Amino acid sequence: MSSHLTTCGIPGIGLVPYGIHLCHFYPSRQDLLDGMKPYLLAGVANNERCIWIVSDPLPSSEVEIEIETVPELKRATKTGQLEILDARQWFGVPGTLTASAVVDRCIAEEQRALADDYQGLRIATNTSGVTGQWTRLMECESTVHEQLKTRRIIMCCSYSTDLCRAVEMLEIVRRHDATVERDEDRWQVLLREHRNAVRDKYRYRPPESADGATS
Amino acid sequence: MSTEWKQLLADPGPDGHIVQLYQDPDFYGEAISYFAAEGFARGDSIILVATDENWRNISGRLVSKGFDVPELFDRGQLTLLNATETLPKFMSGGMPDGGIFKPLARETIQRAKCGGKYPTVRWWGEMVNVLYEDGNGSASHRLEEYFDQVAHEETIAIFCSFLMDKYDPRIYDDAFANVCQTHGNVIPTHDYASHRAAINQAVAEVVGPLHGPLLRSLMAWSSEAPGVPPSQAILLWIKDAMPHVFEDVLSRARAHDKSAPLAEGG
Repeated sequence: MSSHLTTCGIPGIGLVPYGIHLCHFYPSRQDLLDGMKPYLLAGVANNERCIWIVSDPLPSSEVEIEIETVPELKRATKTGQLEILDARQWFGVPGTLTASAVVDRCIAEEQRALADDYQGLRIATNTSGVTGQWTRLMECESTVHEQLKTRRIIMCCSYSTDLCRAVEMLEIVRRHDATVERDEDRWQVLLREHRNAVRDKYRYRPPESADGATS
Repeated sequence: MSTEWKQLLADPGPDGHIVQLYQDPDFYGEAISYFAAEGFARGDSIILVATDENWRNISGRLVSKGFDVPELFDRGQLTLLNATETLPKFMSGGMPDGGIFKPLARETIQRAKCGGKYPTVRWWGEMVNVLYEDGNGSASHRLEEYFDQVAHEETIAIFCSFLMDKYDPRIYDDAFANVCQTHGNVIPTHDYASHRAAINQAVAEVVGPLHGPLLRSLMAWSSEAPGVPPSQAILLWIKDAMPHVFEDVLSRARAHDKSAPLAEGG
């Protein structure tokens, strides 16, 4: 039986479960590359089918040049294990992004990967090409977050810190299981805290638990 | 952009409990009349509990939306209660008496259904706001809890309006937390886009970019306040994580928010 866990690949981060939905904030092109190269290398090493959805500041023409320098990734593109897709190919032309289409596509690609005897599907998405459709993108992230939990898919969505400010960052982290960030030279994974009854003072309390209101 | 609050009020769910913070009578009247109009369009029965002055604001807007208000009363689709006259019926010692209030509310809901003619009921009321404005925050909170219980038991949607300045740091001591605890969704503004832009700008000026320990803190906090829009929730995170800059962020956000009224004396 296949393992429920897989190697994340990002330095300092060990095993992660399939179904995990990560977000990654990057301040520069180099940070994006430094995070996604090892992430995809781990996918190739784990015999996963990998899809790298690219856009500025690392468009497909530049990704292809980068891949030439990494023999494992170069080989994987030749065998079809790693596929490079422009964000438009994945998300559709601007204005047409729909959550259901993206989820359907993820599941179809997962089924294809499993049918081809891969361990699962690994997706790296750079969202910079679709942040202009913010509301739709967040709807898409919410749906993906719910629908992919039980799949053999690991997904990492990269967000440029130039394109999202505090409110957008909160919206993003609310729709992911964990955040990957490089703080100075150290990569770290930041987990969402589970509900803590002591500190959730702004959370709606259903009536049955409303203190002092049962008379 | 008003899409977000309109979506919530158009379809609040079978026992949704929504609150609006307002300062502007236009937003107040527009939101309530929209909630009611959407209910009428869906064949719901609407209960409104308003002060006389505010009923004039609401009814005028219903008329301008094309509704014949006397006819709505005649066919039993609209029930109007006077907030200031209804409150004393169940207040006892400065607090609402659940033993009186809840049967009264259930009876009003049953009457509004007109023997099954209108199976779905929506309720908007401002008695909790009257208590809040009178300075009786604990009674307001308790009454809200009773409303929430009745809404769940009777499966009706409830909408409330609070005269509350979202940029006033004093509301964040207790009042706003109480509001969040008794409502599934909070509408903090009529213009989400302006609010978002103002908060983002204020946070950028006072806090700077979010990375490292700040991002870690935001991630850990992010499950809190799920019914609060992110532009408002980010303020709650700042109050929790960086209370020393909270007032500065609020003050700058007020200055940047083109849709916000000026503070008193401001």
